[in-house]
Amino acid sequence: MAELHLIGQIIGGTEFSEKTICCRWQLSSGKNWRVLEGATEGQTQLDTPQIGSVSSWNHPLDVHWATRGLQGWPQIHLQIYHLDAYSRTNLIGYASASIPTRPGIHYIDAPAWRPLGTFTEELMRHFIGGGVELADAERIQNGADRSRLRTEATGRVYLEIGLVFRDFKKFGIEY
Amino acid sequence: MTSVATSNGPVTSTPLIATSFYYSVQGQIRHGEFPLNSQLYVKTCYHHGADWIFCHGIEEGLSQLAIQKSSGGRELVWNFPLQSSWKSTNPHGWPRMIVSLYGPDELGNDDVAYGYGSTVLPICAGHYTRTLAIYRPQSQSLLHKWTSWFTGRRPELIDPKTIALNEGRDVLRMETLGYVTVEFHTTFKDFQSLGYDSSISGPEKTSSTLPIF
Repeated sequence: MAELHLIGQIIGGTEFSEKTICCRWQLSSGKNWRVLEGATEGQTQLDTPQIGSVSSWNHPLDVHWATRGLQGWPQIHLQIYHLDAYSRTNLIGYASASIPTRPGIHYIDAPAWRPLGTFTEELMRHFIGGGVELADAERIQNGADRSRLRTEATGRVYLEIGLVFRDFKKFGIEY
Repeated sequence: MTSVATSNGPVTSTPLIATSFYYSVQGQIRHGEFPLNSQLYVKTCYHHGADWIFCHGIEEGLSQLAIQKSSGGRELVWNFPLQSSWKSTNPHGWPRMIVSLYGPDELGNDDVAYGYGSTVLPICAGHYTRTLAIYRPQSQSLLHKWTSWFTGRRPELIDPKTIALNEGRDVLRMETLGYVTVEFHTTFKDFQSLGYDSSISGPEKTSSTLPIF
């Protein structure tokens, strides 16, 4: 079996309408992939930048997979939350990115979006906070149910993804 | 298996097969940019997985106190050398360097905790520059903010290595106060002979750092 190591970090988020933000993340992979070591989900710290425009999370990623096939190559899914002055958590974005397919250090910027509700729902969001969220975030991750959404662009998330491949060439995988 | 003829008859020996790889890092903590402060020193330490052993170098470093240029430059220059050599059997738990910044504040208190940051050591051989965001825990209330400013006892982490972990980060409320620039030069021994590949080969341009900070 070939092995893949993902060693990197979720650097931070920027260009969101709010500055005090954190992020929940999950790494998903197909049936051919088995996680040997490492956490595949977590939540970052909350950060308010006093300098610059990037809220830094600096969250470590270190996962070790064994795989029998290329299908189901891992992806990372993020949900970005804002903590407001009243200590309420509001969802302000979803973002997904595919893990690259070449070894080495990659910098990825994942654009985030949030689903839009009806006019009334958006008006309520403006005054009270909250806003619509997806009932089941996993359904939109593979692209099948996306056509039913109307979304608005929010910010972006920066990731540093380092990949170490093992024995891929032995199985004839070219990269 | 190779056979060598000796006076006692042929002696066969198996070729040496590597069971672990070595990773060596040189570099420096170049400088920091902290608009809200002008005197800081850096403490460095590493966090790594159970399969890694620190062989050589400085495991916990302490730099000099750097002060901004009197003519008004914004940088705090440490030029602090970093050296570490590691032995491992598994890339999981790749070492991360954690920096903690301390310095005197305007009221004359020494060693006020100023912030923390971390970076994973580069997984490829070569020369890499990293910019670390430095953040510190926020005060929970306005009263706490005032008293910590007076007494010089800002909120700090009990163990800076917390920031290199996945668990327990969600309860932290931080504020980013500045950036530190670090340079690394890395080399490996026997990494490829164990079947690992972490370098982008071929004529394609390797991914470059985003202009993030």
